[in-house]
Amino acid sequence: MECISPLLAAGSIGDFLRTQRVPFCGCELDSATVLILTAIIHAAFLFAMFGLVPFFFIWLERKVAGRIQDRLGPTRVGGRFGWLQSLADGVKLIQKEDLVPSMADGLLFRMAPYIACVATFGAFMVLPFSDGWSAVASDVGLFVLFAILSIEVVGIILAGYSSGSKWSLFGGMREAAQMVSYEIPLAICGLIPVLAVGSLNLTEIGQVQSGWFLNWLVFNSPFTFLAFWVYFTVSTASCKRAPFDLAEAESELVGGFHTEYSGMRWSFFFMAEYASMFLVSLVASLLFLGGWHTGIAPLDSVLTGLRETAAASPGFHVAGYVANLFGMMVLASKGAMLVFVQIWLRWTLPRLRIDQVMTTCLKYLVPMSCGLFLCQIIWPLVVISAVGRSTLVAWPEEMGGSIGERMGRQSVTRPVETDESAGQPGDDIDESAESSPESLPAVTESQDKVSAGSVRPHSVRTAARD
Amino acid sequence: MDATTILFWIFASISCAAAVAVVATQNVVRMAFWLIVSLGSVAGLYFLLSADFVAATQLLIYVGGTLVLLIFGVMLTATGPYSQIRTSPGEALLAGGVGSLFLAMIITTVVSVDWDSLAAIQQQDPSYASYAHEPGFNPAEEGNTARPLGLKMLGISLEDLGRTDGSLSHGYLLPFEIVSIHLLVVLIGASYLARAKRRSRPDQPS
Amino acid sequence: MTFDQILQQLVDTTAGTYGPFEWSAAYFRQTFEIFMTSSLGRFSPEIILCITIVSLLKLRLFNCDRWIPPYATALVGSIVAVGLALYQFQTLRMSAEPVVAEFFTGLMIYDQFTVYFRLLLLIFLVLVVALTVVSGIPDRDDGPDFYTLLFGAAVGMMMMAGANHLLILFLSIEMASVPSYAMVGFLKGRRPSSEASLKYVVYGAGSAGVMLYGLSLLTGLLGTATLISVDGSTPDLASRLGLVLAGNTAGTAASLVSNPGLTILLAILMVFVGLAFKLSIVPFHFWCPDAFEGAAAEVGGFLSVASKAGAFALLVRFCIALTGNPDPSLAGLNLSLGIGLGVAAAVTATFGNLAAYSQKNMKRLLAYSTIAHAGYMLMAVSALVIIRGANPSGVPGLTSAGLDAEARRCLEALLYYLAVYLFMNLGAFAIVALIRNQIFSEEIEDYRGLAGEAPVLCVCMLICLFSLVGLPPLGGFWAKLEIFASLFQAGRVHWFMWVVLGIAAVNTVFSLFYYMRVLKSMFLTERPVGARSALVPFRSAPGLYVVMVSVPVLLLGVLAGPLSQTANNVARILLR
Repeated sequence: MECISPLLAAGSIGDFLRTQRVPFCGCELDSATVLILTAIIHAAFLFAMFGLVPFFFIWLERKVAGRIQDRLGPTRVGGRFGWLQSLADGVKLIQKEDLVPSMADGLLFRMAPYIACVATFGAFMVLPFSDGWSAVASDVGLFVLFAILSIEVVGIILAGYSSGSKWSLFGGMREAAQMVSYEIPLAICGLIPVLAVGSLNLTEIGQVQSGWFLNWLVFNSPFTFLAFWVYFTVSTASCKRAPFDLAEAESELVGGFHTEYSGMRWSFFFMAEYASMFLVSLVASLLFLGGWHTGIAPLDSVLTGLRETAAASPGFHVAGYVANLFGMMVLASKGAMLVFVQIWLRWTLPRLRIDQVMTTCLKYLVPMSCGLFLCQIIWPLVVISAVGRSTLVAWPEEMGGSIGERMGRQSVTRPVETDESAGQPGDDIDESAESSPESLPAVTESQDKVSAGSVRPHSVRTAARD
Repeated sequence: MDATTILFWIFASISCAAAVAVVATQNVVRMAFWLIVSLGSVAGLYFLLSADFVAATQLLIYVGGTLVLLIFGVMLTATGPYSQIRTSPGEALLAGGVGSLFLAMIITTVVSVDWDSLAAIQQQDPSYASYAHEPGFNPAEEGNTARPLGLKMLGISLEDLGRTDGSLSHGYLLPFEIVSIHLLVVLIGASYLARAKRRSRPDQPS
Repeated sequence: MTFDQILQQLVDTTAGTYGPFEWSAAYFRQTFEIFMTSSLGRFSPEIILCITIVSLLKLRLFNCDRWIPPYATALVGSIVAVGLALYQFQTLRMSAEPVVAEFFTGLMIYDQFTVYFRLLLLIFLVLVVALTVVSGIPDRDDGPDFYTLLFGAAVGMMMMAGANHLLILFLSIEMASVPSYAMVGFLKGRRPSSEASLKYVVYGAGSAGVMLYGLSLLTGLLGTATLISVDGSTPDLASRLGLVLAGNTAGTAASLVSNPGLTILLAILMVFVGLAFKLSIVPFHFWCPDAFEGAAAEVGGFLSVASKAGAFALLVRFCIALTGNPDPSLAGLNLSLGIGLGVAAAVTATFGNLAAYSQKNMKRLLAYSTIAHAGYMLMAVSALVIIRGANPSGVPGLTSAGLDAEARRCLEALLYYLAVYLFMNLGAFAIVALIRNQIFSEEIEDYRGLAGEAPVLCVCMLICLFSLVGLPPLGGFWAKLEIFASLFQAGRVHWFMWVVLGIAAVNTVFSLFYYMRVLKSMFLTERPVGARSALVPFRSAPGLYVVMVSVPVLLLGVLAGPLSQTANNVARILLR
């Protein structure tokens, strides 16, 4: 049973369930049942997220498009602002006939929307919505996320191929060429903040960005700042959004890869598209824009304190829950802002030609992201040798300290190489981290707190095991 | 039977069934689709073993990379709407016979080994790396799957932590780096074979 | 060790530790010497080749290949690498105690054997690059691609010689193979070429898959992937084999029918499949004639020699690792391995020679001759395995020291054979390529009467082919003689080796016929009227080149001493 037990970490749903008793018989749940129940609950939450997000963004898209084109957009369904327009659309789509063209390859045609949908849904799995609020905590979260997201293109290509239509085939081929090329700068730009943090764990990347907003990784170095814009451009392209929406270019290809689709299957592609827009925006917020942190140090430290209290106490903790919920709202609003920009771009910029799309990627974005990647490797070394700090600006300690300084302390306080662990090859990294404040008396109170906070996911797991 | 076992059987059977479907179908793109299912289930097995990095790599390289290129290749080169691969009954029989013989050989040899006692024998060796069972290096429980692996690729082995003689265990720095030269060379080869004959000076026949 | 110490140790062993900088010749010399003992220094010939690859591509990127022709870059790179390898070889030869060191944290091994093969391969690489300059097969536009593939494959082959880990074993085989697939298909727009390349890829992929399965099975069964642990700090194949097999039978008589034993045997067999594919051992030889016929003769020459040399180095390393355990419970495994290799060798030599007899295309003939020669060389390896696996008390008239000497002789025979084979086979392929440039044909039929027009090519062909047969006083004679001698000695351990010896002798006689057929066509028939003329004077680049390649064949025949002495030294240190 140990295999998936990060699901049962302290303070999580699984941990809460473990302490509960079955209503009627009063007996405790065994761990297998808890695990399955937890998995189902996580999946349900994610699915709710996945299902509701497109509803909201489709409405937003129509509203924004209307405003940009000097119209009102939807106004009737569900009150003044047309809130329920998406629901009405959904009901309409469900009622529509599910057509399969006679030239289509039936199996693939039916499967394709699901593949696209499942890939996007799966990628939400490793995303931390707040500190520790991820369905599956993974050490290589970002990598897993990109890997799962890369499956989405398969669904699009299969849709294009199996429709048996020239428009679809062209759309699919454009999509394949575009996605395969844009995945490269996407991954490289995603790695640039990873270089700054030194972890692929999305939770850890979020955690180090606490303190004032200048600690957000986008302000970490000139290169992360540039990388953010490159990432945003590339992620727009990887969601097939205008001005990169060659795969569905309505004016040339009717509907591109989804020309032949109707009803629910058609809407699956759109759910996948809007969900993946939100997903890449959430990733951008986590990687560059401070994740669930508000960027106001005193507020964040209060919230972090609440979370830590919650994690330390067994069972359900309301304040911690509220703090996490607040963190999730912060992250979601950051993501929504970025989605808004994507929508805004779509209705203001003209579509590129396919060769321009490829040129943009292969001749500009790939070399640019590689250059930024190299510079981000060299940057800390240069800054340290020039000003003796790992960041250009010295950030006052009382404001949480700058990220580079905290990273430096972190590597002092959480090494495997402290004396007490030297004798035992397998000594716990986290235990040495926890015990290190005693061995380093010079470390100040606030530093202790930060360093303890930054290694918390491990100590949580250790606690869960004990 | 706990949840892990059930999940294992689900993933394993999907993987095998899809693998059979790859061979049984005749449409190339459908083959690719079944291959996606099969390889994706293998990735699921890796996730089940807490080998997140390997699983994600499997997805990224095979499903998101190789198979997309495969379908892309079929779309670019196919002459008809759905390219088919037809095998004659004789070929199918021969391939099936050889395949089942090979399968039988592998199954009998692998099943005949008592792996548990073999592991016990291997652990009698004093140099057996035992760190994997220590707290802090328990990948399954702590999600620490990528750190030892990443360090290994840089040539650093965490099992050396307790050593006193100053020797280093295997780190995979060399394969990790040299494979990039290999990939570069192969890429050049592929692009050479794919492109038309280069002619910078058209007046001079080669 | 603490984490920092591990890191420091890694940096020290990889790049070396140097004193404070000063501007003096002594400092630079000392720095160079320290560097050459670090992992990067020991890997420096390969690194030079990698740098050459990158510079070839960069030069083309910046359009510099108009002024610096690609072959010049390639020649300079390979000659620098030869220089470094020579330096390494001399240092090893001169060192007081034998140097056997692991580098890159035990993944590779650095000893005279590694450097001998490295030197051999690099000299060969220089010769092949020179041949491409003379024959002009990659033109200037495709030069960077061709040399990139050539050097990439060469790096893989050189890594084969130094592999000390199953991962490197697989990686180096792939590194050598995959560029070869592209090289075989290098001639654009020729159907046989593309077809050959495709066949090669399919066979290669299949055998690589089987080998990978074998490797993972072996690693899983034994719990280690190290071939030989120099200081015994890590478990290696031999010690684990003893542990697993002896642990399984609990001290009773060894039996291969016991469970892990059978599976281990299967795993080893599967690894041999991959190696046999590289060596084109029957029944994994199908790709060879087609690939050689389809590929340009220059590529054929490269593959037939370099790929074989690397694969033999790897095979020897693997066999030595498997037979390294003197535990009597493993005698059965060793014996069956040796006899298996002997059977494969005998079948391969016989098949190669029989099939070569009916060939009409010169490259196809040479392909079958390559198969046959792989068989001869494999005989030396099988003799080595048999002798190493022998129980000293079980062999009449041979002491333990005597057995060691015989094992050395087997290896010496193989090393000598490979060195001679390098020149004679390259010579034959080069002459085929150069004649092709003149008469645009590779059919033996079209070689009629060439001796009158291109005497230097034909005489050199005669030297190379006679050496391939093994006629005195050419290099091939001593090479074959040493192999036969080692087979004879191995026969004292197990009678089967005498059978193999007999087969080898019959084969040698038989091979004379088909080589003679080529020579007869060249020398004893009239040039048909209207045939393309092939005037190659002695004082021309092709003439000088073939003389340069053929003279060592003669020299090694007349002066066999120094090389065989060197080979013996190499073998002594490897089998220590």
